[in-house]
Amino acid sequence: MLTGTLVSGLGLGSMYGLVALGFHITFAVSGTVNFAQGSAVTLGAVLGYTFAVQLGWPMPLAIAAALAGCAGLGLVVERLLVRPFVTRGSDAWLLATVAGGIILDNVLLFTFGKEPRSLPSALVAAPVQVLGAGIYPLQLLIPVVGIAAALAIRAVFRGTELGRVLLAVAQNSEAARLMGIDVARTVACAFALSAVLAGAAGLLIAPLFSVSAEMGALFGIKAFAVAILGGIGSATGVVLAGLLYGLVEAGVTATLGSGATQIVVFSVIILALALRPNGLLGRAAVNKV
Amino acid sequence: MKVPFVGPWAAGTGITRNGAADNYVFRVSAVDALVDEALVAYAVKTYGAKKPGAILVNNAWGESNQQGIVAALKAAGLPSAGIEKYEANDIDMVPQLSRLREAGADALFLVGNVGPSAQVVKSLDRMGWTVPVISHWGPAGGRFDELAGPGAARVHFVQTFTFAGNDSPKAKAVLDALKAKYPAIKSMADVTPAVGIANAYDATHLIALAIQAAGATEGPKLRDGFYKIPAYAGLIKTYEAPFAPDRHDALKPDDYIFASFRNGEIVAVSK
Repeated sequence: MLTGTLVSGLGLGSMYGLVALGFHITFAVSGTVNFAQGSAVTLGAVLGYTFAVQLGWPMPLAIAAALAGCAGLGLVVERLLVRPFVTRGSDAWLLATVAGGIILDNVLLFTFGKEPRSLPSALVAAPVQVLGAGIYPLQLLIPVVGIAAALAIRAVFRGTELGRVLLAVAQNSEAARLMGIDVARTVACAFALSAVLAGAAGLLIAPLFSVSAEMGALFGIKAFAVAILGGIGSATGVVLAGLLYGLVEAGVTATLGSGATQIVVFSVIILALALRPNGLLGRAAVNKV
Repeated sequence: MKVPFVGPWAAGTGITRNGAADNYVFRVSAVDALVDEALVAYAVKTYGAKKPGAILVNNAWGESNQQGIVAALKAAGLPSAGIEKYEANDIDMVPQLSRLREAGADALFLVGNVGPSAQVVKSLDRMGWTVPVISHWGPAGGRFDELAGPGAARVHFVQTFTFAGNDSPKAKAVLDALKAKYPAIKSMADVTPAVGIANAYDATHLIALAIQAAGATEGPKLRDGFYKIPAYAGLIKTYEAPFAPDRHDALKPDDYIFASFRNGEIVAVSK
């Protein structure tokens, strides 16, 4: 039971971490988040299914097109639901992105339908046995993708020109603008990347789960909890928190029973945040006066 | 508001057995308490189950069946290996199923809609656990075999009706009419859920007969009209006095059949 629980926890946790990375990116660059992340998860899976199964496109092309669609969603969210409020000093983007997610969910419900469908993949055709537990190859791939994404984001922020631009915008957008950085475009790119990560999570989840117009909502909520738990300003912390969340969730279910899962998991989150208010690897913001 | 309500779908026991002094709720559908008795009886008869477990969706439907399964197991004198819950959007049920396997479950009762029911089957496949699964009718509500894969066939679930293998003239006539009205129906796999169609078809005709018997459409008179419905040869069965003041469910356990998916179609496996 231990191996099966570990595999379940790491697999789920990686998915939460991947979606939560999207929260991290937009927060790190603009101080805002896209609460339609769960809907981006759904969009990635629905577009992937539509292109690969319904239109019969080759899978690599379907994946690329689905992720491009998610990037477009991120751009639309930033341009219509975030920027108009931020530029006027309003926090209404909080509600606007929630509302945008609800609208997208309902559009997908009407266009894709409410019936879940299957996205086939050779990576879930048959489980392989690892230490007595059955594991689909895709479950091994998901943590790799999640950790690789976190490391790549960390490397970009720390070691590239683009990373320096992003950090400059994050630290002082006015100064960055004066230095010739296109702040609006940089923030828009961050939202596009954020939605691409959520879409990638949707595409990875879909073969293990099913494709449906409601599949992303719960992921979005759990991923936000993970982002806060990890320290939303830390890519490494967010992915680490995702893995811990998944492991605790699976461990509690396996040991105490499913009735205790949500009670214990969210109690642990509250306790962790009480001990580390800025998250596991987050740092308190410095206010210069 | 004294307006008769006829449910063709929801199986919650308390819907018709609601304790109201003046009950206006009727049903042409399965009833959780009776389904749970049927699930336990089927597990014992078909699989020789001695210690079944249950995995139920964490909502009011699961709750209704938890009570029914506990009562049915008690009535049958069987111990339970445990009752586990899952959320409707859960992907991986291995932890819950592992607990049931550790507790020695030799059969599983499943309650959930088509998507999560498929996730239970996928989790069982991943565990390599070939335990019999006896289910409420959730898997029939969609493309269960597409979602669950080859493991779908292992799940036997309750139905009140199937089109596949049903050679009654009425079943054929209704299916032909459906195909004529909805050209999107290319195969039996597109006719989902058959139980909902059949329950609603019979319920509609029973309402018409109740109006005819009452000679009026005012609520109280119409409600009494349901008690005077004569024999009616319906799609599911021939109804003889389907409702009485103390019996607001037109279908009985004898009307339930067990079915499974075969090549995209729901096929009866046992009466």
